[in-house]
Amino acid sequence: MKKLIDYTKTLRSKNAGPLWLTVDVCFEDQATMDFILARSILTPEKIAACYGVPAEQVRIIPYPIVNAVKVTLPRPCPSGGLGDMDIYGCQQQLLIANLPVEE
Amino acid sequence: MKLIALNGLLGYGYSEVSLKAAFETKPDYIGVDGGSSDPGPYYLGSGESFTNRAAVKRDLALVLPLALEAGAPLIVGTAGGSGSREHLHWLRDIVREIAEESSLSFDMALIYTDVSQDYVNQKLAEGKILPMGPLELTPEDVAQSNRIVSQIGAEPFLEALRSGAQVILAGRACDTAIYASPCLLHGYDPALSFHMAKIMECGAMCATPVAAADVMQAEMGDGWFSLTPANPARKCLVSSVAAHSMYEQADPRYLVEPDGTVDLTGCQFEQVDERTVKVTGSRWIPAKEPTLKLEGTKLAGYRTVSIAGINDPQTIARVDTLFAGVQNFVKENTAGRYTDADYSLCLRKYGTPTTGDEPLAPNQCAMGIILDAVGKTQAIADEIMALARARMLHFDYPGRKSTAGNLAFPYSPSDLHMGPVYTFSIYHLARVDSLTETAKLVTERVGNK
Repeated sequence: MKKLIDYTKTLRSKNAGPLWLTVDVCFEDQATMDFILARSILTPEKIAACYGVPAEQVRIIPYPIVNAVKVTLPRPCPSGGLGDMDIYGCQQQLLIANLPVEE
Repeated sequence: MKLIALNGLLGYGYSEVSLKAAFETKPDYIGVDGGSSDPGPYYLGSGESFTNRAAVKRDLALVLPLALEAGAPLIVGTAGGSGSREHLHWLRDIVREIAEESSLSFDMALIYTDVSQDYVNQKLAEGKILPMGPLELTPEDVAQSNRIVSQIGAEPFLEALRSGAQVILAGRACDTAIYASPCLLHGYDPALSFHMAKIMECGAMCATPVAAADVMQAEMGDGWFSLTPANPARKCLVSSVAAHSMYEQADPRYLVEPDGTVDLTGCQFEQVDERTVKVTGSRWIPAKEPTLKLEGTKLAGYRTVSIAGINDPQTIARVDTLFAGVQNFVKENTAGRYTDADYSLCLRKYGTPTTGDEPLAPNQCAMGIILDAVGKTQAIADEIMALARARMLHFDYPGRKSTAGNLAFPYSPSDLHMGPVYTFSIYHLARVDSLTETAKLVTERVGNK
């Protein structure tokens, strides 16, 4: 089965302040974005399950002008907190990248 | 009105060719962001800058004479990386040094943005502290905070600009305030001013090829702004500018500022020439109640770290068991002396376990581990690490064949003493009566002409 990353042009994560992570899922064209959105690959519940955070704090924001979907979620540990492994939050995209996509 | 952004962060460097090209267009203002909370809480906590002094000096020394000659004020936000009094003075001293070495004279404004524990406690008592995410704030957290800053918006910059200062160094500031404040001073629309500022503050990150380390130019007009990279080798494209609105933003549709929000949902991007994008349609929504973000840190202990590799497949297969054994061993050997409040020991493995069949290069390890001890004192952290590292090195298990040692240490000494550890204690919004209530403006004459 294919993974979400196989459908993307850019898939990156970054801090949005030390308490939040934001993941940009960018597609080559609108058709690909619509294909992914229609399959409910990116839902607050799925993201919450991947990262172990409350679903009500996860936001999925389509940004059609650049064929992208933004996923914003609380950091499991604040940046630089004891136990944090990624100060800039720029390597936290893998769990989203690996989400399975049914053809 | 024309503005230039030196780059995305003071000390990141920029092309001198770009700078000269930008000055040929006769800019009215020059801005540069001096810091960020991205490198984590250590720098606000320690008072040190995460930016390099020599690199910051180079970036400023090139532009300062040009800015003075052009009569274009130079505005720097979040001085010294984190914007506290110590950070601001660090940058002020660099500017004074450049002025002396180059025989420059000018008026400089410093904007202090520190707040006291009393200020935060008062806000807490009045119910004027709002969370920004999963971080609580109690009077105890405030009491433990060693350094607290407020992130100012454009208003205190307006006061500094009106003072006639040719150089403005601000403490902790919104990146947007650097570029939006001159526009607001000249009566431009706040939505377009802040939207332009949000894109400019990253230097040429909105261009292609993308670069945080290059000069960017903006022009403000009536109902529009445009963006052009100073370096002729770069272009602003509708796609590159629109995509940049996503970067580091929780929501690409809205820019939240202390005194209002920019609604970007009706924005239009237009390619006006090969390298220039024009933006229209940003809308301003004034805040019902103005807020300022407060950032504070507290000392969380002292850290000692050890890094090692493991190649033995049997050991790799048992790393988690060994880690649990090391935790127990440390606990037993410090029983009666230390409790959980005195130290934390974090054991981490890096790399995907392999079957052990894949060939390894001579300078490669199959798995990396980091042993991380944080203690109430450096001596405690050192002792916890000494126990944990030695136990992990010689941990025996049934069937073990590589009995000389489990760990490949890359360094002697194996233990890295990292000193104080700070964590964010405050990252909250405060409702304010005035957006200048935390700012203090001090002006000085630099040089003796």
